[in-house]
Amino acid sequence: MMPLISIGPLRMSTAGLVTLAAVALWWCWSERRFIARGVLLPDWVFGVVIVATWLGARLWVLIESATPLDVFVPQLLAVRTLDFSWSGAFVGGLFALYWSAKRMHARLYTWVEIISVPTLVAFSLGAFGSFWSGADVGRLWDGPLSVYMVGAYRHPVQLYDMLLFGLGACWCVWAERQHLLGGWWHFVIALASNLLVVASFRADVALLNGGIVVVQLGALLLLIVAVERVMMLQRQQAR
Amino acid sequence: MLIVGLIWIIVTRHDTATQPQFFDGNRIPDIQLMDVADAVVSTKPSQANPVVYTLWTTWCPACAANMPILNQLVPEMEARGIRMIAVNQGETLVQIQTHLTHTPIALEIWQDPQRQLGMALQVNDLPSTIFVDANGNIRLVYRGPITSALFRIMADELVHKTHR
Repeated sequence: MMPLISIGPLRMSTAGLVTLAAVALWWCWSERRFIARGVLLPDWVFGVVIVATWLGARLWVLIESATPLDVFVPQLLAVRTLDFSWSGAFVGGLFALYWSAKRMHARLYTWVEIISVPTLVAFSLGAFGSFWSGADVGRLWDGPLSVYMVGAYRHPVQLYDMLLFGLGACWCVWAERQHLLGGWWHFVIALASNLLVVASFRADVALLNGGIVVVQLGALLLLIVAVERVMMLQRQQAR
Repeated sequence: MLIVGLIWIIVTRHDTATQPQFFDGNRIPDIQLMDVADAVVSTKPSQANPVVYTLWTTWCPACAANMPILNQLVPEMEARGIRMIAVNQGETLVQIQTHLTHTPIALEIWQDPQRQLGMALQVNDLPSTIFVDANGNIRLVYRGPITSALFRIMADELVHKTHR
């Protein structure tokens, strides 16, 4: 168990600290990539995205746990919170990007393409922070790569996350270097592949009858659509 | 791709049979908290009784659904020498007392406004039930609402360990 770290009024776990570092990295890198693509964004866009990411992460948890309405808002705004959801953070951030792009009459696809690599690297870093703080969401397992957390050997799912998000970032960089069309869809492929693989090893996933993981079905569908779109764009490019 | 993906999903599906996981090694950390009478209490093992901690909050619907099951188990567990303690996570004494006026809880109730126990055990899920034998070893961390059947299986294990 890593100790909590106090910075001013904040008292954070290592996961919180690494997440802040990941957000800072994402912000600086994305800004540079926007400039490199000739898109000048006002700073408020990044502010809106970060606030929406926070709210999305908390909203997802509160809705998932059917939080009563009388404590919903205080729980949503609580600084010292019980839990965050990566999926909620992603949806919140994406929604903020959509809103900002619409407001600036820009294309959301292009924006998502620009932020894809920094986002995947930030997710990878965040997954490492989660592992470092000793969060234990892996299924019980006593194989050679298992880690001992909270009294049991488990799959180190955050390390799998870190590796697959890193590979996803490499995939997107490769696609960019090759000038392949459909950067947005390459990003979706990276995310869906991660979900499809890592959800198998997580203990905190919703299950259907027979132990089928719900999120894997969605991820497989998303992956098939994204691969089909990329192949279609390749065929168009070849013509 | 669809076929490969479906095969992967089926091969990696979870075993949904409820199998309690017994393990040794992790000791309950010594944390000082307060009960609802504001008396200082500690998680330090007493070498006398196994203890079952339930992490809960007043706003958590799954905790509310699980609490009647735990309430019913209290007399039986007391008779077997097992203490049952409901450790509130992150709320104030006023919030707990207000909740108790309309929802009685038969377990001992402790306050943990800073979530020290949950954070020390790296448990974020509510409710969570932590079974600790009389030597202070954590025998099971069960996430989510627990059934009385599984609770009794673990109680047998705790008593067996204590008298070994």
